[in-house]
Amino acid sequence: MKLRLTLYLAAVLPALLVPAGRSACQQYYAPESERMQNEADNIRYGSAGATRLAGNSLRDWGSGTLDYTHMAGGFKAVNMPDRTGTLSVGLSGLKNLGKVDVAGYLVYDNLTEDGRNWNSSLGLDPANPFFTADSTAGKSSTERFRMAAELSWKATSRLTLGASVRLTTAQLSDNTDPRPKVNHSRIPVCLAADFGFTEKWRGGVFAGAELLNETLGYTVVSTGKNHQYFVMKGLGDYYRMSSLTESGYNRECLGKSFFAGVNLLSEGGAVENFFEASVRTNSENAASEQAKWHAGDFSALTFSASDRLRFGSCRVRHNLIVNASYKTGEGWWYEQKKLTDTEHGSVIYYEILSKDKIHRSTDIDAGLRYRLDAGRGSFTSELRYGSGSVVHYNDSGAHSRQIDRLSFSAEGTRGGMKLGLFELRATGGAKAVLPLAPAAFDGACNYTGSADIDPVYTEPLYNYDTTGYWGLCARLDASVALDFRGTAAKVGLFAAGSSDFAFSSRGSRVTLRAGLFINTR
Amino acid sequence: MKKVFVTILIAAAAVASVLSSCQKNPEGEEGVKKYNLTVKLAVADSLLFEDLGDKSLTLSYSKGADSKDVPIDTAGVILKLPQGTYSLSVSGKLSPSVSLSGAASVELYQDAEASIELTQIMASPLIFRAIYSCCGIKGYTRDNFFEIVNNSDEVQYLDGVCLGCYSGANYTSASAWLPLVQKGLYPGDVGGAIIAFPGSGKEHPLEPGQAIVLANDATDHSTKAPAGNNCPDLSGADWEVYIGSDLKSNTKDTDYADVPNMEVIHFVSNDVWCQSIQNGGAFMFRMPEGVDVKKFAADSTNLMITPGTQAQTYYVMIPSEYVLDAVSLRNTAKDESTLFPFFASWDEVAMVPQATQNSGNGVRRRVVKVENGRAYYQDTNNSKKDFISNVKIVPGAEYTEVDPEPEA
Repeated sequence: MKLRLTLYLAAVLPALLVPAGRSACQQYYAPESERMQNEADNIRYGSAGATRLAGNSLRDWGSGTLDYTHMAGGFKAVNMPDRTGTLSVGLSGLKNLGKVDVAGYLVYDNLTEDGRNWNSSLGLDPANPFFTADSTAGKSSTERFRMAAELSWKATSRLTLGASVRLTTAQLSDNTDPRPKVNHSRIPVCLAADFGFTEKWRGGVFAGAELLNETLGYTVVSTGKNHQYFVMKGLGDYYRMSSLTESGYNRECLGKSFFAGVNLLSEGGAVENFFEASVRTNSENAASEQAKWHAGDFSALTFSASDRLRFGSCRVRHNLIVNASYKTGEGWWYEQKKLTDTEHGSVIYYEILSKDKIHRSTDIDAGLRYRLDAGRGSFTSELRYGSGSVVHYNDSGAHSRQIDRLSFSAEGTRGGMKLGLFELRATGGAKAVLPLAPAAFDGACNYTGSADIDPVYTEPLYNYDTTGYWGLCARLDASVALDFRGTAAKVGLFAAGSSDFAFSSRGSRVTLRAGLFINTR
Repeated sequence: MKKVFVTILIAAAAVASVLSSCQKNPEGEEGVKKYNLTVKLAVADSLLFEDLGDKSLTLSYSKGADSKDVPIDTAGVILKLPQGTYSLSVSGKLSPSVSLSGAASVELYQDAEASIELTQIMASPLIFRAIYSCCGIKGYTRDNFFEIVNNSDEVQYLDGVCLGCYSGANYTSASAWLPLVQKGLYPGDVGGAIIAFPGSGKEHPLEPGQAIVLANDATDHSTKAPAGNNCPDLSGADWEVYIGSDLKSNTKDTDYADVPNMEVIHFVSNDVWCQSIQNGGAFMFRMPEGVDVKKFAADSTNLMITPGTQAQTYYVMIPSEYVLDAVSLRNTAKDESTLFPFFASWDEVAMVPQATQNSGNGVRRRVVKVENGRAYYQDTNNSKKDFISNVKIVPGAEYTEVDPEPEA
């Protein structure tokens, strides 16, 4: 067998469920045609366990991409940058070795963000209220490596085992005082097994763990100016700290997650079905590095379930996909007293006076999607409901926030079109996001006067989250078939664009992406 | 197959219940806990508890940036407050010339009691009326000035009145001086020097309600400082501080001959007296009858280096009993609860926020009464309440209107 100079990496899959049929306009690094084929053919596509690789119809694949993405626009959250430029280089692939399927990817991203403030974290849980921020907008640069390796092994005629490991590391730096430097790493590991009870029925389990480490260090070069650090506690409540008291504030967040799930597959008949349910716990605890001043403990519990029903013929297949998740989060804050241990070299430490649950969140997400696969084309439409509620406590009592949203999207792809030597694939779509009866919300900032950040942070963030908008997206791929010494390949270019338009403020945000790709089988 | 699948579902539910049990809050209910704080008054000196009677006393309690006032009497008061560390102070008047003051702090993480010892404070006839020390433009530090007023109804004499100062010091952590300050012993020349009004006793009278302007440099700084400045015109100042080359060899100070100079009793450093752009404190004191301040400052038993150091700079230590008035300016960038006081609580209960740097603004004492065109100023030994911060001060101005009560 000839050796192929292709990295045996897989198409992207998150640790948890990813709704099948994710918009092609929003795909980031997975090769388009592999995703389209396997997503259409493999009803288990999107499952957390690596045993799903055995269900791929396309099992030998290699892809390399080089692309640049530019995003800008006034319709953005207050903690999003004004402009983002991302250069990405990626390699991915699948390889079948008899009873073993391997997959993996390696992607390098280099991001430049202009006007980034109010968020000095890279990859904490979105529901975690404890993060540190500064209000000074700067130009930050982030380097990120993402890599994964997955393996599926058909141990017996009925039993398939799988394993996957991923690694994400990233580093952010900003040269505007105060200068945050963030180092992030996340490693999820998952083991899976599925067993064919009969030719039609197959059941599986998977379980895994994930470790997170994120460190943040602020340095101030021009010490003549005092900078405020916002050690956030939730809904705009924060702990006051400044560069005069902590000129170089350092913080470390350690997290661990455990997840497990089951799935049930029914295949081979006129109607096929794949059901999967999982549960996941997550904890993220932050503390200053030197003196172990506790900066908040967060924990979350997520229940997820999805079901994909597929029926039709090989020429035309219909899919009905339902998925839902229910996530609860809790945040604890510590009241601490600074003490000095004079018997051991005047080491500063903190005595915990009280630990209180000050934050509670509930997030519900549910969606119903229809997907049609017909020949070289597909069509997807989705209706999605999202609800997020937060209750936060501080000295002034309880503060709550509720956000409910309904979104609808539709997208169609048509491939296999010829234009001379080029094979074209076109994708177009539209979406609308509508807030449901948003209520007025007062931030939970515990300070008054000039220290009140509700008008500059909490309220604008809430207004963005409750603003309805609509959007369009389009993508065009043009490729040429080549033959490298008997290896079929396609080399091509792609260009994609999407834009979101706010209903009320008429602000907009545009994302443009273009790049090169090479795919081999 | 069905049995196996059901078994798997039951196992998953068991795992979920175990994982969800890890989410239970070990502390029980959620939210910031509240506890009862019982505040009682205690008396010191010869003050009789009965004398308090129906006197109107105010309890101020603050945590972090928040501060609230409630009335308090001899029965005390019970407050239900969110947990945390609180600074408590009581202020009021026993008579027009006698104030009451007391302070305490308490960590409230369970029901607690705090006892505040009240001390009688004899109102000083001579007090600071205004302090400007935050500079009118960045890099120009010579334009600070102080106003001293006779707040009594009798003629007072400036002869022998001394001034000490803290400045440029970072008191956000436990200062080495703190134990001494809490006992009422103050290093008088951390701000550069101890200065005094000259005279044999009755050479420099101050009429009731009359104020003088003491400038670091008595000149028009608005023309001397770089363009775009907010500096005052101090060419009309009554007194100035001159640090000559006999004290500091490379001094940049200028002697403006038209304006009389303060006597420099003890010089430590700096040719700008009491420069306190972000924080600092100034105090007036008078030696007891028969005690010469120069001999006092020359006596090594009255001198100290910074505790815990091997520094060679000696500071004159001034006892609280000699203090007439003390005002400290706090750094507004720091959390008030982390700041440590420059003076003992009976000399000053709380600090006034320093004015904005380089704004040309200062702090001035609140006018509480105007009678026959003469202003009377508030003096409860609580600079936070007695002063208005961040206001434009015209050196030597006459005040003819009562200042409104501050917002609660």
